[in-house]
Amino acid sequence: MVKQTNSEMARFSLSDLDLYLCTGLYTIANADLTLKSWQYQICPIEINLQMALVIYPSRTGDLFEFASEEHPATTHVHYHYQREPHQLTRLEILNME
Amino acid sequence: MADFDLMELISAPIIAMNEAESDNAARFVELLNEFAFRKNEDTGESVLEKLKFSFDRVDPDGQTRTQNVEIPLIHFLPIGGIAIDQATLNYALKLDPQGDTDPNGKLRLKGRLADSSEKETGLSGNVNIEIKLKQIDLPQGVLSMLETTQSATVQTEKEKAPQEPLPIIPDDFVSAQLLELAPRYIEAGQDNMTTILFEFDDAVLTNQSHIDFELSSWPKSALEFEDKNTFSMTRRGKQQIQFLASPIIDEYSSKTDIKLRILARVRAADGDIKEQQISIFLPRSKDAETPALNLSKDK
Repeated sequence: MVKQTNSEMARFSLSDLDLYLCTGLYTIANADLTLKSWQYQICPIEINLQMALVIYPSRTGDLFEFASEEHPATTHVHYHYQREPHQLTRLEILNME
Repeated sequence: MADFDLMELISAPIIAMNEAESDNAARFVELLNEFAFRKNEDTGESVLEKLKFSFDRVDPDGQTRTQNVEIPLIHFLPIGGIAIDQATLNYALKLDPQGDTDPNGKLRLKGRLADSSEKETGLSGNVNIEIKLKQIDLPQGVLSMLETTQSATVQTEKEKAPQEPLPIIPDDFVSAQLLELAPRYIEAGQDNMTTILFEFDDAVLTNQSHIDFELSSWPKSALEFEDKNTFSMTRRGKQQIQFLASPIIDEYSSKTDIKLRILARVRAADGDIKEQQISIFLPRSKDAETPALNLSKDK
């Protein structure tokens, strides 16, 4: 493994992002909030996340940052989450420019 | 400006909406208890609050009747009227360009809400988020529980207060007044019927009881009743009785009293039958005194 610079270490891979979103959205979708279950009646059935990212090619795999004024987006990732009856959360990347 | 975890930024409005729904449900119960029921201070039971009023109504027969109306107050209260059925949240977030890691080395994303005025330019926000929310169906377990508790809703009839004792029927339950006797005396061989008009006035007659009357004469064969010799009354009123004097009365001594007897019978609620006899001495000559009623029992 090639040693990354400090800034590279702060960047994230797509799989890191997937894991983070999947875990977090699962928590939200399954009422693991501060609410009691009977209070959780309004439930997300669909979540769309459009992320403006800057891609940094790396020998160990592409790394990403969120776009900023200094570093405009080079790619957009669209995560589509949909709750289906009696089914766990589903997370997918719709497109990647 | 403090940064929040991305998941906090997503869940915060969802929590807020659900808390609003929850507060709404609690407020519904509060309003229901406040307006629809009142507490019986003696028993502690909740009693349905009612709006009571009366009004006069003219019947088709022209009689004015007072109608009393009671309507549960709950029918007038627009309580529990607001609920979130579905919602769409649309907002932009500005996440820190580079991620952070938690103690386990897993990625964490932090940021804040983006200025919506700059949303279109893309300069401020780097994440656009759209969340569609909907009222979810109740879980099967809750539905089963509701079904079970529904059958546990019991309506029981409140024990009725003991009924007032039935009125005791007095011995002299019939009173009557002689209005007319025509002709004013009887004699054998009269061509026309003798007519007697009574007005009965009694306090015993109710919707549940009636008084049966049976006519007879003393001596037994002195009078002939052309039609039936019985009648019934369920309310106070006038009653006409007609009969013929039998020719046999010519054979009676002039001192023999001839009486019309009316036997009144009433069945009390306990099944007992009470009797009272009314008799009237019928004059046998035009010089005789006006007859009077005798309401006491004949010996």
